[in-house]
Amino acid sequence: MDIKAVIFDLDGTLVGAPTSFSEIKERLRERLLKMGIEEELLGDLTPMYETLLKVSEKTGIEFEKLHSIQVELEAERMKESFLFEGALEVLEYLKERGVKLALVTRSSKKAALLALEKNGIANYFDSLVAREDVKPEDLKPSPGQIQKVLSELDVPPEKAIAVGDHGYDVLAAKGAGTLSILVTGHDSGRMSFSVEAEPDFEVSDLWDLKKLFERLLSTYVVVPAYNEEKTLPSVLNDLLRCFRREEIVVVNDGSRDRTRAIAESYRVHVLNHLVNRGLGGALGTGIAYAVRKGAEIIITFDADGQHLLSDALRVMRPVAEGKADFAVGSRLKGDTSEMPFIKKFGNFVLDAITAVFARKYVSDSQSGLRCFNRECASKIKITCDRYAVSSEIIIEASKHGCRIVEVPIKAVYTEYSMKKGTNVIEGVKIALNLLFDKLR
Amino acid sequence: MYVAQVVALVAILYLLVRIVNEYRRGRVDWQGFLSWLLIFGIFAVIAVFPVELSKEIKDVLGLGRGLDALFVVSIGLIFLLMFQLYIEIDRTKREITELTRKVAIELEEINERIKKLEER
Repeated sequence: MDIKAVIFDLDGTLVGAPTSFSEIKERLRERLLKMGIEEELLGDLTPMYETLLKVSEKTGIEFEKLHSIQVELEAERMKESFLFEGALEVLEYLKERGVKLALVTRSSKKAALLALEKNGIANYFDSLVAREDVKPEDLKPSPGQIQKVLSELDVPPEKAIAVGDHGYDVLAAKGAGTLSILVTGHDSGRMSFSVEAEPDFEVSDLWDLKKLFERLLSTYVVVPAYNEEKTLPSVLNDLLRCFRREEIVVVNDGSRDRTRAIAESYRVHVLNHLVNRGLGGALGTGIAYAVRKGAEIIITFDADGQHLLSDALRVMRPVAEGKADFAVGSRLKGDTSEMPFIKKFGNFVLDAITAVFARKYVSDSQSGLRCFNRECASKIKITCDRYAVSSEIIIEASKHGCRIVEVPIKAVYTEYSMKKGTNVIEGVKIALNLLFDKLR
Repeated sequence: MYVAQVVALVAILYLLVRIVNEYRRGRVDWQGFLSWLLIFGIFAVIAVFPVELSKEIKDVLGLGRGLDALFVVSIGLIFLLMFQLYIEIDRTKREITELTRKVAIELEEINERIKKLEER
């Protein structure tokens, strides 16, 4: 993937401290009560900063005065802060790979800098946006802080990933349009309340985070293309939003139109079949090439425009997180409203035949959106040249003991993709092909 | 001689001319040429002595009327031939795919190397 910047949250993500936020909150409450502020105004002090702003507004006490107490308490807490295991290794790895690093935190600048200095990681970061650097309404979960980092680093949102330990981090990332990773295993330093938000990726600790980045940074997309001059440009433009040019592999399967010229003009890898070999032949070539290039994750993505980039990322998730070896995007598990009945029925028949051979039922065995990890991709042997390859891949994956998962996706059925895709006759051929092939 | 026999002989003659031509143009190797000659030879013998032969086959295999026996044996042979062809074509297709794949990958890798050299 094309990751140009990683934006870390500090507390609970990279560093923790023995004192919890609830304790800080209690100490703050005591100090504020001592100042003679009414208890009612304080509520449960969640979140602290915003509550102080409100208190200052209502009581007329200068905000700086209130805020300085919070800063003091935070700084004190950070004096005892520690790095989570694996933090240094993740930062080092990303720096080595030329990724820009930034820090976005809801704590005060003073406390943040103190934590960075104390733990010896200040030099890793190209940008730091703390609480005071943006307007209160722009703090996480608003996207303002992340947007500020992106403009400082001059990185477009889709080429950045935000890493945090809290729903607030995920919401801010979504608002800013970046991808998000949630670190779930750190208890120390977590904010005292929780917010539900679905991240793009989830890991339990920073060792897993490093592994996730290693996989993400060598993810290849294989796009088999046969006479796709109409849709290929928009598909490639879409893919280039998230992937580097050298990670995209277009297999031009002996097209007779301008597919080759178009693919080459995008400066992606283009593998040219001198004669048409069919979908299976093209996929086999693309996957073999990606494995040779050292891909850790391989995604297959149709060139006819029926897949969404966001779905590709979702299909990638279980494999990138290390929870599966092979993921299939299932059009039948997601929104099937746009799928014509005949397609549903045909799919069902082919699913059933596939299930017999694979000894595993996959609700959409004919899906073109898949994701393999390296190990699974190198085990799979593709022998079917034509459309039967989709079933063959599932059968092979199952035979070699790959962990298979299905991820619901939405298929976009345009008139164009309907014409090009498999039809009834093609479906019968797939079935026959499978039967013959497995008798061998 | 029946009309059917004449037709069969003409057809065999046509096939013979074709296989000789194919051989001359180098599209068939000598083993293939000999095998086909042998097969056409057998067909020619059957065409000339159909009744006698069918009686012989009937006596050996004990299959109904003489001509029926001939049909059964021929269909069996043709089926075997088709199966052989299926296997051969299938293997050839795979080899073509493998070849196409290797060429595509190697060409792209050569292109990459050239690009790297140009950048230097």
